[in-house]
Amino acid sequence: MQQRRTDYSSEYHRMVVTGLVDHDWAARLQRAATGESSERVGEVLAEHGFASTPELEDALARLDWSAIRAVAQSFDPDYALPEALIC
Amino acid sequence: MSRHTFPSAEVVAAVGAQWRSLADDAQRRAPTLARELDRWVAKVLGQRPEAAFTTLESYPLVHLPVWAAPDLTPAVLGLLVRSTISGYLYVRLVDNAFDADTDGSELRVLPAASYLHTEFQLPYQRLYPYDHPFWDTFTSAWTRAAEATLADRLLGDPDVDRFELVAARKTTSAIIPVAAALYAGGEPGRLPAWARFVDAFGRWHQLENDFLGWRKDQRHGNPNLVLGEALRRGVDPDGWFLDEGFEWGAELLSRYAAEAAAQAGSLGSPELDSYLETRLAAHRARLDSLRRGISEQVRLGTLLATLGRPDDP
Repeated sequence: MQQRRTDYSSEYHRMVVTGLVDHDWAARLQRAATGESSERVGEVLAEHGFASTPELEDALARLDWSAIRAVAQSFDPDYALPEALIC
Repeated sequence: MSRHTFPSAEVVAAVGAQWRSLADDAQRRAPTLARELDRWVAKVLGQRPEAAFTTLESYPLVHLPVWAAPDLTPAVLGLLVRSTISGYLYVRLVDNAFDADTDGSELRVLPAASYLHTEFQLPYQRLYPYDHPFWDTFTSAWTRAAEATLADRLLGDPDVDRFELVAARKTTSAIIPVAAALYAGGEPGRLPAWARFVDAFGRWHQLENDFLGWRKDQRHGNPNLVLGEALRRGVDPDGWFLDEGFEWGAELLSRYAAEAAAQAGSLGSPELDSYLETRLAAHRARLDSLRRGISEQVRLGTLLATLGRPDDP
């Protein structure tokens, strides 16, 4: 298989950063990748212009999604934690 | 293993009693204000708002007096807790309206600020006459906090130096109930050491707030150290935070935590030492979990950029 170049300045990387901090998209991708929803991984990926391959889907299913979600939840402005006093 | 339970049962009981007393008094004196305030408080602190004052993640405002003066009488503790609850809600109401962290609910209930400020100040007036030296601490700390809040907002995203000089001092008024407790216990000579701890802990607490809340501050246009650092480096905060900013912030947090712990060590309060041990351990565990998540997120980014990239036409 042809090895594609990782381009961190590309729109793809930016989509990943902003897409995952938006925890809704991360949650949908997680559920699709782990088979918890009927949505297909390819459909979720396609929303941000990503292509799906069996290799990619397999790799996605093996990610630590709870850790990824914890990041998304911690930094997403829409995911408030009202129970602590902030100053 | 911590030797002292947090939260303290005595403090939790005092918070519960004073919360009910404040709600009853407001209902009796100003039913419209009480209803609106109740709604707003539930919105910002959740369905059990009084519990927010004693959770581990919160600033330990209501515990500081008993750590500074363990022999505080229940009556004095009750007054200090009543004042602290009211003072916190007053500051939060004004700050939220000021920070634009609002959908209008703060503006709707803004007249309640005068009620909250009265309930903040009145307990101290019951404890100390107008010419007591406590009022010097009260006035200087309260004014310094207001000055810091205003300067922080007007000066925009800070660098580390300005963060330490200005933003970190927004919590400086936490010394007020500590001073009241020390005067009540006859130990005002310990006030400077406690003030140094409050400043050091406030620096750490404010940075943790900036570190975890930078995207929210970015959305609302509020000043934030993480955003200031990205600006200083001339980089996009989104990408920088994942690549470097997280570890940059974690290192600074670690330095501030060590300074706070060092200041606490000189105070001779085993309860405070135990709290800090527990609080900082939970903080480090959270950072470790986020570190793992960021590593996985970067892995996901690499996967999508390499395997998920459509073939070039």
